[in-house]
Amino acid sequence: MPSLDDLKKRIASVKSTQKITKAMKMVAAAKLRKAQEAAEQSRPYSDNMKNLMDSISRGFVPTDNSRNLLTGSDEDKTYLLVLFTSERGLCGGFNSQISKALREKVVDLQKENKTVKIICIGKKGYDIVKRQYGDQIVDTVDLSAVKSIQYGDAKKISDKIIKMYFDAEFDKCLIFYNKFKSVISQIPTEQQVVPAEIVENDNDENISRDNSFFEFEPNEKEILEELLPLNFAVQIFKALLESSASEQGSRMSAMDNASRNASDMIDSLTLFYNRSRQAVITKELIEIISGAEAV
Amino acid sequence: MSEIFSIKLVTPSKVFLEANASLVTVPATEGDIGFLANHVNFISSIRPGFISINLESGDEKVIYISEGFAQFNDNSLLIIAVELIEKEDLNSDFVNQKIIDLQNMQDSNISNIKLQSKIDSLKSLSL
Repeated sequence: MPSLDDLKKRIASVKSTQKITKAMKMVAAAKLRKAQEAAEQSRPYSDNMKNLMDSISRGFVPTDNSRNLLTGSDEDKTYLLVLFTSERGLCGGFNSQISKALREKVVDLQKENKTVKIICIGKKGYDIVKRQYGDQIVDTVDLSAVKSIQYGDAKKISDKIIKMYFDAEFDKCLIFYNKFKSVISQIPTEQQVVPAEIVENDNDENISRDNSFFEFEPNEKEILEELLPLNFAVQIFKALLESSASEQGSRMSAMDNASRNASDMIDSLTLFYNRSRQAVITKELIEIISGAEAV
Repeated sequence: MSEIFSIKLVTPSKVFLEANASLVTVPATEGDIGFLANHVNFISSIRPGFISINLESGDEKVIYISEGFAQFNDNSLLIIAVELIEKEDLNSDFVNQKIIDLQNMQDSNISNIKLQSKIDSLKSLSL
């Protein structure tokens, strides 16, 4: 049985751990609010970009079979998977669930004899994936110095990937990130970004204007050449923002659980401590009484 | 009183401006374009330069744009930009830095003609 002193120390240490998890929860909550705001403010941009993409790409037929970001290359051999994870740990299942989704995809692709290349954004994902697929990782991106994600960060990543694409290093690109649904739920999402996926939305109110006629200056092809890289960067930017909101949400609920577990633990330890203390007192009393009787 | 139409300027981080205007001049890649109400539906890319907006109230607003796209549709003009800065907040150091960045890119990139035209339009900005 642990001594009273030991118990006291244990209670104290659990209490200080609880203080830390509580503080982390508060910080995560504040950061989550910021991340959510950022995600919301970027929404008009990506929505409008999507509309613009739709109105241009509809009816656009590439004249030559060269590599482009809209229709992709003719080949279907090499896949580039981009994994979005966090830079810091202690955020529940955030990193492991998205890494798991990536692993499943890699297994599927390898069964079909495709070549897989991986880019890790965030240190934690790299740590998880490198054990199994160390050879496939072609690049990592460290965002630990970035406090709040700016468009420039996404631009750097997308420039790198686009360069790889035109150097014929991959044929298709998929991104893996956690989509923010709520504080307690983040959905691991797989999205194809190269070739660009045009999602047709039938109940879209904009459907009528999609059919409308546009004049282009310069021609459609040249506008697309500029628009597609930009659109790609926006997808990356969106994924980064979603991922960071999810990370904070995940951390917040993980820390909330940890604080609750700590207080359960403190309760049971305190009970145990009180019982042991009472036992010691009773024991001493018995000793005194039986000593007195023996005299 | 000239007719007005709605304009919207968006950047990745926020909606920069949403207002009604009577005339908007945009530095499109193939020359400046002035948009009035009831312009034909139009899509164009934009080179670095200044967008000038005559607002409904009669005020004029001048905004720097680094690159982007303009879409005119159903009497509303949408400008999708990477970067927008009010002209008053812009200084020559910033523009010079941009030129240097682009020149650095020029060495490593293939599509030099486009970069060169961007550099040219940056250089021709009068501050």
